[in-house]
Amino acid sequence: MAYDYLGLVNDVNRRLNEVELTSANFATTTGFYSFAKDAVNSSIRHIQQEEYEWPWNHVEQEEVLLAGETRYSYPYDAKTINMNSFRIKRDDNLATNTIKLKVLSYEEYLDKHVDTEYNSSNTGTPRYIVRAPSRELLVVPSPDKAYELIYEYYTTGFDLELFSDVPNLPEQYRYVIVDGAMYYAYQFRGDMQAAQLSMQKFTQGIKHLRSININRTEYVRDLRVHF
Amino acid sequence: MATQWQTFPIEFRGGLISNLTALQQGTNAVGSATLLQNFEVNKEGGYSKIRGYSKYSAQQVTGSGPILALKVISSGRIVAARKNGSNYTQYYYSTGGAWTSMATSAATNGGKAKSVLFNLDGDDKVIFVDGTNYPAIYNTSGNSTTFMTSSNSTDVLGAQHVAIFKNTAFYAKGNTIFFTAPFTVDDFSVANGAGSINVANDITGLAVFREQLIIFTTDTIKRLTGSSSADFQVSPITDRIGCINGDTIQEVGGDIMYLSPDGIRLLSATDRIGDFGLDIASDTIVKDATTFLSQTPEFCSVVLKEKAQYRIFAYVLSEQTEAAKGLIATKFVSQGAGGLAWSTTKGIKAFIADSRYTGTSETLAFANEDGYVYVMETGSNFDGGNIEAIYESPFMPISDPQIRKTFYKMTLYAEPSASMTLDLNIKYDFASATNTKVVQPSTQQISSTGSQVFLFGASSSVFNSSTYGGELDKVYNTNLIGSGKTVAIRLEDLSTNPTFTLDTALLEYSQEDRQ
Repeated sequence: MAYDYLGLVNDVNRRLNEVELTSANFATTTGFYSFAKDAVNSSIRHIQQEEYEWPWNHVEQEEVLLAGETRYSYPYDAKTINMNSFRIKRDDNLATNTIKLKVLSYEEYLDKHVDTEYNSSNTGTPRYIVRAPSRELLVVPSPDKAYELIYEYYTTGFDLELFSDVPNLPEQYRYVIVDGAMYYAYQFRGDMQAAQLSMQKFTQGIKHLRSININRTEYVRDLRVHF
Repeated sequence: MATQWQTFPIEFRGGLISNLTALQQGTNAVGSATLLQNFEVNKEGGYSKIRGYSKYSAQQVTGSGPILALKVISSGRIVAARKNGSNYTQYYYSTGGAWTSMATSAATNGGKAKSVLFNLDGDDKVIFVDGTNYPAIYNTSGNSTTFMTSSNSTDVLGAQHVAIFKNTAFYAKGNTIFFTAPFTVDDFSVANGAGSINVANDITGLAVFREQLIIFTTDTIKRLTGSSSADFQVSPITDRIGCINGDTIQEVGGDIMYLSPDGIRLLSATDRIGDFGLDIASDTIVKDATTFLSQTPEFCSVVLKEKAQYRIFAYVLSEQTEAAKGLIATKFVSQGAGGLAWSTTKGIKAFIADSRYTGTSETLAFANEDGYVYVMETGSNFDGGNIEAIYESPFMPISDPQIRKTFYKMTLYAEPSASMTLDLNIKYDFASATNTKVVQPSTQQISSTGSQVFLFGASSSVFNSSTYGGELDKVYNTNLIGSGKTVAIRLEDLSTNPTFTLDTALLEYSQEDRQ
């Protein structure tokens, strides 16, 4: 069974001894089948909400800055942004090297650099990146050229819609998605006992995901040298 | 609530029913059928695939058009007639090989013949009347057929119906019955005891029922009692319900079945002396009967005594043999319509039919316009073709029709007589094409032949390799998928496999919560 939306819904159908859907009737079925589709998306959402930085949600974003423009919106699907990952990309045409931007707090920005937002002559190569409270990013000073800004963030994930949509979780964690979907499916069927067992398995599965994908101890580093 | 598996038995009995709404039938008549095609309700229980038919003789009866007369003399001799090249009705007999001509009618364009078999002088004889010619008399002694002539009586020229009652031959023509002198079939001398009776309506059939001759007309049913011309007396049974086709009149298990304008009726005796019951036997299959009876005015019928069956066939000249339809009624009680169970046939095209029980065997013959005479209840195919046997149950709610049930297994108890391969379809929630809440499972197969069972004639049975004598399975387990609030099962066999009997199906299911 292919690892896609149809395959996951049919995993649920098989566990409940239901007739499997096909690509032809996937979009039009209603009732329990519609609920099974929702259950798969609910399960994926549940997994996504359990951690901020699942590795499969990691995105490297490239954004071309506008000369004189300080504020830039977050990506629409950003859950967390790695503020230490911002850099200006080397560009020989713009005569710039790769420059890593330092993080400024919004309060410090207001104290020391806020004038750059209103002073169009005060532009240059950005040196700082600021997280504004309004899901915006501020580059300081305002760019004088169309620099290319690169940074990394974690998405919130996405819902599956078409039968051929593939989740961004790796296929080896398919069973965790299905365990979670079964929790919702059993609830729909009124079988609370089986629903609770599925939830236990689902929770254990998420723990397993977390231990493999989140907990990293590459080495221990003493930072006291930076006093 | 944890779901517990439960078992729901479907005992195959009751036959075809079509006078109940879908849910009522599924609730109150579990095991009955909404479609029971080429099955028969078995007297020993269950539904059995009907047996096939084959040619009685590999040769056609010479002539054109449908076979006009057919009489089973014994399992080894059949008399038939067909229109010859000059449009005269020519009579033949056959013992399974060539058809031998015996006689030809004097007039052209004779109709479908009615016949009666009798023995007044030690020889089995048959009188044929075709509505145009003088009656023909076939004598088994010498295999000869002779026609009456005007010297006998001009009254019986064009006689349409014939019966033997109280050792007297009764010929019906129009609204008059002509009867012969006792112990003769061709002496119409009044001085010897012959006579005639006008019954005031066109006669559509005659049948002997116990101590009376039943006279069916288009609008009435009368009975003739007495022993001779001196005391023959006609009295009415009903002046409201007639018989519309004389070829449908048969005595079955103590009752007379016939076709009336409102369906197939039973004329049966009651507990009161001289009284008759007139049940509509086809009431339980009113929808099927209405469809069946409205397709043509041409019918024929036959009785299968061994199985207490009445079979009636509709004949439409332009219809393909594979599409020809019929009804089977099996009697489970001696009298009345309450003990009848119905099924249908598809693929038996009969214009004329006859049956006779001789010795220890019963021979059922039928024929249509292809010129061959066929014998029913033989083999497992329709003259080499597949038999399409279908059982379809009503949609059964099992418990609460508002609660969804998930189905896991079906155990079918059946009694195959050899190879059996069935297509199983499970249908949920009335199998509506527009109901997107239910996806119907695909077809599954139930097969009887295992690797250790070898059947004579099967391709897997290899000489010097296979060992015969293995027992055929009687229990077939099938895993099911799907869920629904109502469920129906459809079992279909389209093959030349021998007959089998469906006993019971057990459905294993779990019940969900109300949603």
